[in-house]
Amino acid sequence: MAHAVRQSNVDLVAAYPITPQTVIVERIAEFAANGEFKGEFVPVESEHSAMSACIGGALTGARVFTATASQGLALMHEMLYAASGLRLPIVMAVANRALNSPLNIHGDHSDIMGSRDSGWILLFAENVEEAYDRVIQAFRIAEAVNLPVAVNLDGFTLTHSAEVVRMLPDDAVESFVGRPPRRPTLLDDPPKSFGLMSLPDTYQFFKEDQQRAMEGAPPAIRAVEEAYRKISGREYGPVKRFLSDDADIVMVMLGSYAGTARVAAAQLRSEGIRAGVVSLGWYRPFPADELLRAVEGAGSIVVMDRSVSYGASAHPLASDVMTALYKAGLRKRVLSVVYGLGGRWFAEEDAKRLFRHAAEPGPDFESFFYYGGDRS
Amino acid sequence: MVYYEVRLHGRGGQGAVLAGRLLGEALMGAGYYAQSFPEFGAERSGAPVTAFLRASDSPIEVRSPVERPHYVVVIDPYLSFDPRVAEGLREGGFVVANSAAEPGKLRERLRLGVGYRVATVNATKIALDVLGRNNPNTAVLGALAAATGIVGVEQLADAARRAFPGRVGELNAEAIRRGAAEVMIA
Repeated sequence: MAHAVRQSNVDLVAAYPITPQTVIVERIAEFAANGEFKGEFVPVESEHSAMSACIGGALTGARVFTATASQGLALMHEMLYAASGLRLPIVMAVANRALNSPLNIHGDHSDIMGSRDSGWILLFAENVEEAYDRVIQAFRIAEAVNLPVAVNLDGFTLTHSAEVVRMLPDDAVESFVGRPPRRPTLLDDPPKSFGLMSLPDTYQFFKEDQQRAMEGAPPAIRAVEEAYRKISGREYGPVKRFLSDDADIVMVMLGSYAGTARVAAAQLRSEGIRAGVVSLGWYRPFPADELLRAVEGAGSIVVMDRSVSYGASAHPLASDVMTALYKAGLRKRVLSVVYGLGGRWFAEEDAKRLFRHAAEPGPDFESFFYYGGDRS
Repeated sequence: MVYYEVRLHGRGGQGAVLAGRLLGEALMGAGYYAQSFPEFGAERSGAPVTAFLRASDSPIEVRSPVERPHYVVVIDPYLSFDPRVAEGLREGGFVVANSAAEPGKLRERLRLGVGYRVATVNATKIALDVLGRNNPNTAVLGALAAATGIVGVEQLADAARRAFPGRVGELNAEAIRRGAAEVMIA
């Protein structure tokens, strides 16, 4: 990810260290120290300041990046809304990690789900190469739709994994991202003001504009993905489908355990269980149409959430999936499963157990926390 | 098709995580897909640390920690005799451990039958001789390369030189070669 930032003509990186994001920012700091990163690197005193500095930088027309996780994202929360409300094309990596208490440094999606409604485009990577690719794409997406973009990658599972990444040449990325398009800035002559007061007569219009920008973002995101495919041969899209076309049971996933579910689904085919997997590359805007096409033939849907919406009808991803089904007039058996909190392991055997459970007849809706078999 | 899983055991500060990374980089340098990642607890010096590696000739989809390893690598000599390090080891699997003891002794202490292979190397001594400090990780990797053939000794040495530029890299390359030369296999 640090390489993607180095290659993307970024003018400003402002960040504060937090496990497990640290590896990304430390590397950017190294690149800044040895001259490979040409922009400004600003080590700030908190994540709130990091996002504030990014907002200030973006208001001068600069291309900016930050990265955080967990408590850091929580501390940044207030400024996330400022970034999206000001329609600034900021790109942020979120190394998804659990939240206190109890203290836990490991992966889950509680951090980003807490910021789900802050008006940022949310992309999820399944592996390190995808995280690299998504950061490069994110700059162009953000600048095309004037919305900030968060690229999510699972803490430790991805941030601390050494694996094969087919990096693109520097000049290919530099020409792909180009320079940010011109926009009104603080430095214009005559100078402009930003972030002013909006009273009850106008405020709601701004919010509806943000909603329209988000709803209208898919064609722009698809265009960037298509352009990126031309230079890299790699394309992810809003959803990745695996054996879902003829599946009786589809597991819907966000993040790095999708591959584990795919291995399990492939193995279950030999047992006569028709399992499939859908992995979301976009979470906001929510790709409801593509998701529906992938699950319309299935009888049961297992929706896997690595966060909890306490007291809700269903957990975050499951709520989105069920709303999409409702809008399409589809009623299916849905399992809303919470798993992998605080880095809890999830292996092929776990995915198989859930597929088998969903293959049995049962109520139209079930919701439970999944722990795994004999593991402590 | 090539596919195997490795689990590495050590203590915070000895370089188990780095060993997994070096092994992964050596394998990637040799054209394999590899996935190398640690399991951190609360990071502190001296606490048991586990690292994992998967290698294949095709892209690797599974991401969970390794529970059924083909190879176990033990970097801490006190963990070498703890039967828990061999938990889940596959039939025919291989344990390569830092120990001054004969490999037969390790087999006995880990309660491994004849269906498993075992190798030891006095990596702590090699580390103290060559590096002048107790970082036995690279010597154990050399032993792993020589005992199992899953990676070349020189590929590992190259990975070490890339990871540590200059004299430290050369010394670790030497520790890898010494580990390979001095491994005892049962």
